[in-house]
Amino acid sequence: MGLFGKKKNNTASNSVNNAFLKIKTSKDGAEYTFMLEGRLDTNTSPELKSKVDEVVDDAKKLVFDLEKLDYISSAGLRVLLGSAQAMEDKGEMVVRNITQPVRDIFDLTGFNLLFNIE
Amino acid sequence: MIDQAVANGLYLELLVVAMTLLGILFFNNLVLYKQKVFDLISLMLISGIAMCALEFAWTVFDGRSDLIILSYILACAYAVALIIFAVLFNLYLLDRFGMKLKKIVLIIFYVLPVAATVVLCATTPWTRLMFWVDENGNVQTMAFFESVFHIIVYLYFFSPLLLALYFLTIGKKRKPANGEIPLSVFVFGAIAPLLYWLQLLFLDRGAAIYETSSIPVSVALVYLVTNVSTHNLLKTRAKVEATEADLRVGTEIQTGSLPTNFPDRPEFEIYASMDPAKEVGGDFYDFFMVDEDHLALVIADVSGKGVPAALFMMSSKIYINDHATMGGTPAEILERVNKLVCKNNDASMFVTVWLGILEISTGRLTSASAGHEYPIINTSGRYEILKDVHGLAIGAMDMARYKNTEIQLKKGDSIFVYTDGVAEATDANNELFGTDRTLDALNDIPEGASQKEVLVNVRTAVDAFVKEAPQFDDLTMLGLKYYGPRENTQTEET
Repeated sequence: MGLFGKKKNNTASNSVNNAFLKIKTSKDGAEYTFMLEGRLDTNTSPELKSKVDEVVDDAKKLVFDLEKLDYISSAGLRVLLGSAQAMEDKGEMVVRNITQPVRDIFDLTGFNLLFNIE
Repeated sequence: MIDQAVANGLYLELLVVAMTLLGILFFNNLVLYKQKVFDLISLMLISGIAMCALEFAWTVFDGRSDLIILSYILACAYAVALIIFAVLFNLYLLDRFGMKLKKIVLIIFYVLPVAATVVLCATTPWTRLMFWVDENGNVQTMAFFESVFHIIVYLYFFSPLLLALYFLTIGKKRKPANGEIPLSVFVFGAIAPLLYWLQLLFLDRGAAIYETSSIPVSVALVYLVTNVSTHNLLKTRAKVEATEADLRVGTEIQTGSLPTNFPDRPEFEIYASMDPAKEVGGDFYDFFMVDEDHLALVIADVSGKGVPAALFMMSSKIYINDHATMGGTPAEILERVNKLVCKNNDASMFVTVWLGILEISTGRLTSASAGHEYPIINTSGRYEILKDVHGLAIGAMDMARYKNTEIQLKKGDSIFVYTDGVAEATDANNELFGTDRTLDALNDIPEGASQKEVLVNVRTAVDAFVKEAPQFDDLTMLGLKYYGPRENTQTEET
């Protein structure tokens, strides 16, 4: 069953344009940093959401480092928005090192006005 | 008379067949029905396979005087496998009947007999209660095995059958939720003894020929487990089908909520289309008359996909429609809608909206954007991006402010608004269709084409670009061409 399931998942992700997202999480006290690499879209954003959900309760600060993020879709923005809303009353959420394509999308959707961009 | 060697060979072969059947069943349960290894049914099948294998091995080594210890081990292991199998079978059926056992009952009637069997088997070379291997290496089943152990095993097998019979007859009203299972169990109860009896009838002419309960039990078990699994599968499938039907209706409702009656008016021509990537999508377009002289145009994209996005889309669409009809500039309307949406937005969803209001008598188009894609306008014979002022997507923050952008449409000018499904359509190499290709596709369209042709051409260009890559996002477009005010309105004004 394990083998079978894995194989299936692989072919599924291959068929959607090699969509991939690498998430590196690091922790410094109550500050959590997520280094994102690849594409944050409908297919990959649930993974980031579950990783954020795991830590959000005891986090004082969430940092998203987007230096290596090539693309963000509205589903990805939603995860960032959810994180910003979750941190609203109890800490801060920072987006760091955004690339031009991601900046364009932030500008377009107006999220540049909402997020704390460093 | 049947040749004894042939009969023995046949018997061994049947054991292998029974073992294979159980093995396939076990595999199917893991792979097809996604059961776990430590599930009752899996454990039962494993012990069944072990039982057949040990009986097979025991039979092969029976009569070897040099392998007396091995014969003991195999025979005893078989007895243990048999009682474990019987116990698990019993538990499996009770579980299927929805009956829960108390821990104490479980220990006394299930764990203890198994433990006792293990002890009896371990001591049998001295006590000779279960088996005795004589000096020729022949395994003899002893009195306790024949008269007590076998009866206990049969009790495990037959008590669920009696229960099934009860549920089928006088206990009909108390029939468990798994309605078909008692019948399956009952058929199982008929198959197993029948096969056993056939075996006795055809094979057991001479006392020296083996008989086995493993084979009939295994074959009957194949019937039972397949039946129960299929029954469960059918039930799940019925649920999935119901969900799919719901989704289809959802799509119909959603598509039905988008206007497709494109007004046939001399002042303007409008056309719009939406192709969701999933059954239900989060994109929408809308157009409606605010009053006699004002036409509202809406294009929007909800974050995310599927049912949540579709629900969010429906409520946003209604809010926008309501508040546009109440009056105000697009920026004011979006501000009011945003406050409403933010109030009840626990799922942190958002929607990007472009809202334009066209004054038909003058061609003045006032629009506001809540984080939506730049509109593309054609006021000079070529399509180009209109960099309007951008506010925050609706639903993100309740204090968001929006600004109006005004443009003047002349006779023959047009505007094209779309969702990110167009510019962000992606080919197999992860390359985006992009705004430039969108503009090229629009500018390639011959002048005088209808708005419907304009939209179809863009769609064709997108399809040609992405080729076989699957459609990622909803693809929604709206095109409007302005033909100037109605002649008589002009004369009225002058």
